Amino acid sequence: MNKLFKRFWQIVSKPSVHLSFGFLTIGGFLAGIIFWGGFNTALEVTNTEEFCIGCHEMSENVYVELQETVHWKNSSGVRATCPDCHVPHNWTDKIARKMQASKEVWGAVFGTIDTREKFLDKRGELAQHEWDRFSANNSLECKNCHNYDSMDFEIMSERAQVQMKMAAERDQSCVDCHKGIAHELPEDMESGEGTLAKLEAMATSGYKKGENYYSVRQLPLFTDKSLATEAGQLNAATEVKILEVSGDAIKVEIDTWRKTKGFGRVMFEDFAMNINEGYLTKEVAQSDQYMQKGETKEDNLTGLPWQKVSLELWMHNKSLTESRDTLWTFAKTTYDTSCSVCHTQPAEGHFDSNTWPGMFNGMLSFVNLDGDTQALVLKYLQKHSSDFSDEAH
Amino acid sequence: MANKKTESEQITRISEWKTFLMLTVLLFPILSLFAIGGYGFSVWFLQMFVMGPPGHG
Ligand code: HEC
Ligand code: HEC
Ligand code: HEC
Ligand code: HEC
Repeated sequence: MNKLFKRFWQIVSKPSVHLSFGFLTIGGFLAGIIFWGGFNTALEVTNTEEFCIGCHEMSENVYVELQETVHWKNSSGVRATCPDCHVPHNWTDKIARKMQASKEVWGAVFGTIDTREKFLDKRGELAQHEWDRFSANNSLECKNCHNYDSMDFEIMSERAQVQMKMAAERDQSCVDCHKGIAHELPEDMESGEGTLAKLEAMATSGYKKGENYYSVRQLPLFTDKSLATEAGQLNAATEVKILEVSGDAIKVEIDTWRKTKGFGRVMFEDFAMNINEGYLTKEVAQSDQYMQKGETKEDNLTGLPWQKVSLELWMHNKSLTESRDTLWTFAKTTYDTSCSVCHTQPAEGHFDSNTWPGMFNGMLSFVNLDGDTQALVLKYLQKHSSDFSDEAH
Repeated sequence: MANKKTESEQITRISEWKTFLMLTVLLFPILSLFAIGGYGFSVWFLQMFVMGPPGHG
């Protein structure tokens, strides 16, 4: 063996006697090309759906689930395959992901998820890996096909408009809200669709003129009865007073505060308290047509002037409720379950209403809450914070 | 030529061909795979412990 090696070295380390210089360079060059071509072909083979579903773990679980979804069959006839969503396109990350697959080979050989039961048990963990990846790359793979700039918000459903416009403004990661878009969600998790139905179920109907109601979720506001021109958005659990009921539209009064620095687009529930009541479009915020201005006070802590305003705007004749109690019950359950996974959830009254938003937003990447639920839970925490804890609630 | 038959005498045309093929077909491809794999693994480990999952930009 040693002798063989020595002889090999002898030949390699000396100029060749029989093979020409040209042959060696061209031969080496061609071998290099063939290798690289073969390597990339092999890499592409592992990047096809056939390869992904080559093992029964994938073909019998996630693959069948995908077939029920919009990415399998849709009006545009575009198919999203497993690698479209799951394999990074940039070379370094792709190679790293392929090496990571050694873990999956291990799993396949030793059968870590070889039955449906084992797969379902592990699903939470597997899904979490993908969520971490999507939140780190801002859902890059989705954005290879979908683009906020190319979306026509006007033709989306009302709820989609409200949420998607906000998401587009912040270039938010799609999977923050669209979890379970391609497969079933881990068992103990409720999807955003489930919560929408739950929130809507809390809404009452037959609103009476002169009475006060609360929004069950984030709702669009309009400047006119025909609900054509958008005026802004009302936050969840926000109080409105009905001024007029007219078919599918209602005119509401919103008593609110705003900071007069800048455009004053954001509405707050009370003086010097950052409890969000929604926002206005720039046009509405700057126009006197829709609002009556009240007193102006300066917040000593921040030095910012606050102004009380009363707005009269239109909205859809739905999604309001008489009391916030049911909303708070839902928010409390959500808070108790979502926020106690890693630590005991802090008491509501542990922070004041201006501290909660920072605390809450810092934790959002850890939990799976859709936009409406986030807004509702935050408001619940603020309304039960130390600022209000003497109140009977 | 005939009297310089010490080492290069053994280096025949055949053995040079064998060595050439051994390098281009076996050794270098295998080393390249190791290098790429090693690179992939090191990026993965870095992602796990240092950098976090791949971001954008
Ligand atoms: C291969 C391209 C492709 C990729 C990658 C992709 N999508 Fe899609 N997506 C589509 C197409 C095509 C449609 C259907 C459009 C239509 O309705 O005709 C669609 C539809 C959707 C819808 C609308 C669902 C509905 O019920 O109308 C959502 C939400 C969505 N995608 C989210 C995502 C998310 C989140 C990701 C990333 C995990 C993603 N998509 C990745 C192509 C893609
Ligand atoms: C803040 C949360 C949020 C984010 C982030 C988000 N969406 Fe949405 N999206 C929603 C909601 C809520 C709906 C409405 C779902 C419904 O009505 O059932 C929706 C609806 C959609 C629809 C269907 C629109 C329609 O009505 O035809 C598509 C397509 C879509 N989203 C794609 C995306 C893509 C792609 C991204 C990332 C680039 C993304 N969304 C990011 C919340 C979000
Ligand atoms: C439209 C994008 C998309 C496509 C196409 C897609 N996935 Fe996924 N996949 C996701 C997302 C997003 C998650 C994160 C979990 C969730 O939200 O459901 C995920 C999670 C997973 C998981 C973790 C377990 C789980 O269910 O959460 C596996 C395994 C998986 N995908 C395999 C596949 C395979 C195999 C295919 C092809 C048959 C495929 N995926 C196609 C987007 C996609
Ligand atoms: C995935 C685990 C996880 C989940 C889920 C989670 N947290 Fe945390 N939380 C942490 C960790 C880790 C820390 C301490 C490290 C830090 O401050 O970032 C923390 C700290 C906190 C703190 C204290 C911060 C401070 O500076 O005093 C608050 C308040 C908090 N979390 C609230 C929440 C709320 C509200 C939720 C639900 C929306 C939540 N957490 C869900 C992991 C989690």
